[in-house]
Amino acid sequence: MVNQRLSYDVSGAQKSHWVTRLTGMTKILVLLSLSIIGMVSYDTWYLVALTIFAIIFYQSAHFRWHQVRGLLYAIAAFTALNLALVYVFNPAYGSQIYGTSHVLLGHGFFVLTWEELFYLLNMLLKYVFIVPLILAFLFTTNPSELASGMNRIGFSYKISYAVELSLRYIPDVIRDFKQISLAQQARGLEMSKKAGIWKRLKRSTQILIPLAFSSMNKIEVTTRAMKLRRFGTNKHRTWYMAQKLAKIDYFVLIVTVLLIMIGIGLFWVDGGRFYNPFR
Amino acid sequence: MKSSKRTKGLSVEAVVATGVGIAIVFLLKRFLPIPTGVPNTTIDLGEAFIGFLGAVFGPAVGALVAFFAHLFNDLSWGDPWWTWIVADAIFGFLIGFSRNFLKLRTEPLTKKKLIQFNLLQIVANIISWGIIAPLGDILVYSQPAGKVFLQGLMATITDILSIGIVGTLLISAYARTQIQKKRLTKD
Repeated sequence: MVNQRLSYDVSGAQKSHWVTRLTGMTKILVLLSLSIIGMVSYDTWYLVALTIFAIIFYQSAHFRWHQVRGLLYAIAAFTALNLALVYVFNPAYGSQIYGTSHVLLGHGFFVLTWEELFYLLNMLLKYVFIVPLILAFLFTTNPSELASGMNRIGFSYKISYAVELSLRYIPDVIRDFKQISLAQQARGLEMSKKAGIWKRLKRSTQILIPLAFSSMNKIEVTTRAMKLRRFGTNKHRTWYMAQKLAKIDYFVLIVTVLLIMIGIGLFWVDGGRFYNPFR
Repeated sequence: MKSSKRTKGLSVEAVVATGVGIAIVFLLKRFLPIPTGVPNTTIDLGEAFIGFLGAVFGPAVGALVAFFAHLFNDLSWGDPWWTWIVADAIFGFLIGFSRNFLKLRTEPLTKKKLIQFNLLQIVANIISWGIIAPLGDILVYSQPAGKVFLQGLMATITDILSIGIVGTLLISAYARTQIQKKRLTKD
């Protein structure tokens, strides 16, 4: 059921790529700011530009197709389903937004207009523009870097530390989960995939309760260990993985700031969030 | 919670609980969704665990765990959907207030408290999935209302089921161990 291999070590072959050399702080800032501006903007050309910018990062990470294949198929299926839902629920939504109606084909409720197609294209861009960027960062950042970066951009160090802790615990939790699941199977828990929804709920509860207890134990032990090391007594802490910003970080950050400013400027140029080619 | 000399902010226990909680909720959300038979609708056991953590550790841990676990899950699919992430954090925050009346670590659990917990979780679910998440999708992402309210409704129902059944079981199982511990020390 859970066979994802999780490793945070950036492989030696990847170290030479520039995306790997970016600091955690740069990566978080780029990811956060681009995903937020991309969420708000509906300017098609701008979203295309963001997509291209993201693909540059993806290129630098030099993925093998088999590394990302499964994920990309899943994203494609998810996006297609969402777009289909958006269309089915209100096929005239595009016309409502852009104020005009150029019929492409069909009639009645499910009439397909150019406006709707254009709106769906924008929606598609919004779903996919950040995917390459996230893939590139996901495979090239280690948790300590991430935590020190989070702290640097203003998250309290306790929250940063909690996030780092969680990334370190994911492999542990997966192992616990497997052990509990095997133990329950040995005691006769039915694990077939065909079982009905109530049976599946019941059996996942039988796994979840031991998992909850083992995690409460873990919380207690770790808390004690951290208290002994006087965690949380001071207002600030230093990070072993603290990194100095290099030239490339400044370069990427400046490009990002420019992109954000263009994105905000476009709200005025377009007279709102939507770029309207029909007017 | 009872360390005498601490600076303001999260306690050490809350930090660790947040860390471990994010890991578990992420795992449950990512790998163990239970299909309901309705396409694209699954029962999310992660929410049940958020409810449990909120009930034990309070609103701050609930909100942080929900926020980051949802964010990581979305990132692992390549697509952060901020309105739903924020809605999840609000849910975690609201359910965290159940700690105040459940008092799992000091007082025995009664039927009345469990009913209160379930009322709170139903209200919190309706607020975050039935109202905040769809409204956010309409305002921020400009999606058609029919679609997002249907998705919100499905999420509300499945989460109420998930927390009502699995979350309640987790809480009562945990409460049993707490009370036994107390008896052992007192006798």
